Amino acid sequence: MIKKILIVISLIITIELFAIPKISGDLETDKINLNSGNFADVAFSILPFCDAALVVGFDGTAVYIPSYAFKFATLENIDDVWNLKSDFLSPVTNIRNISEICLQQVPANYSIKLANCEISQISPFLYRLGSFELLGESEKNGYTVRKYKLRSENDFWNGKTIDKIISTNNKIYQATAENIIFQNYYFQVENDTISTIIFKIEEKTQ
Amino acid sequence: MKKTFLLGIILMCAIQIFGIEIISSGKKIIISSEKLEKYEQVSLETHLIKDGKPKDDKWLGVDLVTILEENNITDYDQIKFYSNDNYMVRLKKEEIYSHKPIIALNRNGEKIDKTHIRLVVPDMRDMFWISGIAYLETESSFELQFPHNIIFAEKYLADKEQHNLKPFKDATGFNFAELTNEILPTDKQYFVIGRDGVSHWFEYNNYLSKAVLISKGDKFDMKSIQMPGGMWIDDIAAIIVGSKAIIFQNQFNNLEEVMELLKISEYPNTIQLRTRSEKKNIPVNLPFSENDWQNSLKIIW
Repeated sequence: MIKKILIVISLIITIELFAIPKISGDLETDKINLNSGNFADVAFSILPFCDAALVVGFDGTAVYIPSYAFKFATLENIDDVWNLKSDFLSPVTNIRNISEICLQQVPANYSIKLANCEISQISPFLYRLGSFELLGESEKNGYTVRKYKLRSENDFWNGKTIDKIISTNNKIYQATAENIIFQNYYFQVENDTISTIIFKIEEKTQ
Repeated sequence: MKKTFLLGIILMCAIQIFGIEIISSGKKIIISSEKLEKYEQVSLETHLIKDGKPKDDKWLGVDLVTILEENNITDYDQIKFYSNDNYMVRLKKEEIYSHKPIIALNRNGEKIDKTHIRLVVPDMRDMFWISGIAYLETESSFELQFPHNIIFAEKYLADKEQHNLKPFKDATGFNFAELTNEILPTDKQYFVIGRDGVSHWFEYNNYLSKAVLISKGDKFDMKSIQMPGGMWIDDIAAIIVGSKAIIFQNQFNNLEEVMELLKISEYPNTIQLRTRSEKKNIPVNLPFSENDWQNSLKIIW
């Protein structure tokens, strides 16, 4: 019995470690067939007006690459393990065993409008980027990339109290941040796509 | 309230007693007012045109280079000078050595109040003559990177609504963050330049997180309650962070003028122009009045 459980657990781990990378960010759909090849061809075939990519490894290491540097990197698939490689860009660009490719487009196709907040909107890419901690920048051949590490949680909602959530259908929800689900390229509350979030104005205390 | 009052008094006393503070390579060096007065006093005469009128002054003070070298502060690219009201200017090392600024203690025969001792930089605009110096901080140089990715501010803001910008009176426009939030990282130095060439390097959180872009016709002024009025940028022309730039296209006739303002002399002859649905390669010198630019949101090169 224990053997069977162990086999199932190792199968789950194996499937997880060799899964096709998740595609997320400022997309119109996440139903995408990922191909290997020059990273510029790959990224622009997914999001033609892409401005940057965050490529994340299963170990939580990530690299942020601006679109003008895409052509110097290659996405390879070796025995169902997806890697990003570049000899031209900083070695930070080499991500083994990719779990996710998150793409940015400015302006994003979809963003949540935020009221009573220090920023006026948040795109799926910027929200996802908030789950990572910047470790540093690295420059080679005149091109700069940024290295990130996955944090334990996204703290975007910390310190903010939601008053109302308005969906794209203009339905109003009284919900908390825990009810908001990030769906790779959009946000949902109760299976409805979020358009606007209105935060409560915090009263200043002396 | 009591605490704030006490802190204020302590700060005032500290300035009176300590004079100026220099932060370099993680170390703090305090030069007391008394010590400043003991340095050899050098004199200089300045001539400025202020509000159309000539203004001549005779200054007496301490040569800044002498203070720095005596304290072995030589390994730096530039120095930030902060006033006690958070005004900040930067002088490059070569400017310090060529202009020979002084920490002025006496103006036209009158002793300057200890809380208002000022930097006087001969032959540089008086916006650099910071008054009420609180501290100096050495730093390594920020070099402008080549802007591979340029977004045009007016086009990006086109589908956003202008609104009142409190606490500024009769001011409408946008919060600075509405323009930059999606485009530029907040953890890097921001280079902001006006069409007249006046520029500053800013830390986002200290100076720009509450800044606003005040509309005046098809152009904007940048103001912020986080900085004194002397640091505000009129006719904002460009914001550069790393290799990304936001350009206020209405300030220019073509991209070559942008590069001229940024003092970038080498750039490719062709750029990729992007609208929301098209990519097109065009020559860099194509005037902004040409049709190709009409719907352009950004360029990549």
